[in-house]
Amino acid sequence: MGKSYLQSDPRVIAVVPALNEEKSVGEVARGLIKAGIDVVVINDGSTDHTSEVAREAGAYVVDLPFNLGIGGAVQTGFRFALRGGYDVAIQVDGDGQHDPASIAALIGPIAEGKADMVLGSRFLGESPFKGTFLRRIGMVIFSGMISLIYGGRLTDTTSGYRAINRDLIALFADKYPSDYPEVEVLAQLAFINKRIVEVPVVMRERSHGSSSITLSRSAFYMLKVSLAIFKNIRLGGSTHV
Amino acid sequence: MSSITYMLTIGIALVFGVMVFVMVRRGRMHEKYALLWLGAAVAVMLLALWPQTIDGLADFFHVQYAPSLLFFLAIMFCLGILLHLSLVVSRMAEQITRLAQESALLRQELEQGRLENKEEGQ
Repeated sequence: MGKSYLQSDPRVIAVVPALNEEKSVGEVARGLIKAGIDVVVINDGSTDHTSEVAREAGAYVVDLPFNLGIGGAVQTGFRFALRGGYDVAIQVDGDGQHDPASIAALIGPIAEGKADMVLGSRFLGESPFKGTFLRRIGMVIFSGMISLIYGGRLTDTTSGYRAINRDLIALFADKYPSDYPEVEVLAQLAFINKRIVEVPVVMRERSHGSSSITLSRSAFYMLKVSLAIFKNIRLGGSTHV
Repeated sequence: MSSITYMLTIGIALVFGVMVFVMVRRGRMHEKYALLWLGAAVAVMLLALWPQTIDGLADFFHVQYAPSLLFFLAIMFCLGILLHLSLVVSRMAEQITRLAQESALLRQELEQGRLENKEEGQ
């Protein structure tokens, strides 16, 4: 196994994928910078002023030449973090749902060397997050397979608010799923020994735009996640990469 | 089948072969795929010239209705090519993603470098 990452002052970067989020990305970036961490906004082919707004807010901005989708955008951020030599990368949505107040909670288990990945869960502890009925059913279907694998230990597998350590930054920079990566990447990790920890986070209802998870898509992506699980199962032998 | 049908089939195969050849000359198709399609055109032509080959094959495989063997082989050929193309497209999508990420990251590094140079210059 790799060395532990016990350190009191890890270098942290927030990876913010953004597609046409000019109304919220500035505030998100300022909030994160104020929390004392670096921010890289991955502009995933926006047609509005996302890039300029993020720059003005003081974030690093990487402009993708065309839309890669959420997976490709987030992976770009991990590649940025890898080159910058960061100890922790936190994925934060550009739409303002994720409260920067939870940053410390997400970094904690990694800084203590107790986790490789920390998931911010809406359902642990007290959180005002409800979501619509359909969306909740969608999330249950969507993440059903993963919940089975992890024995119900994870409560919020679709959460996009998560932190990873150096090990996983390097791994994801090389290999990361393309669409709906939040769930699929858990399938990728299920069969290698990585420590995943959940912490409660506060999420606000999104201020702009709409959620991309619908019921029919959920069913489709559950099949896709099944394939991802199948892809990552190693028959017999060691579970290490 | 009438001899006109055979002539027509040979004609189509010829036109097909010429089209592939022209596309290769114009640099629009890789030789790898050209060879595949030229091979298919030649096979169609040979079968049109000696249709009894199919009857012989059908006999050998105990296929009662010879044309169905022909269709079977043709469909298998198409399926094989489609599967191969899916593989190629998947690989290319991966490579394009990587290229887009790299170019975006490099541009960011370049701009960052310029910015820092400017600040130092002041």
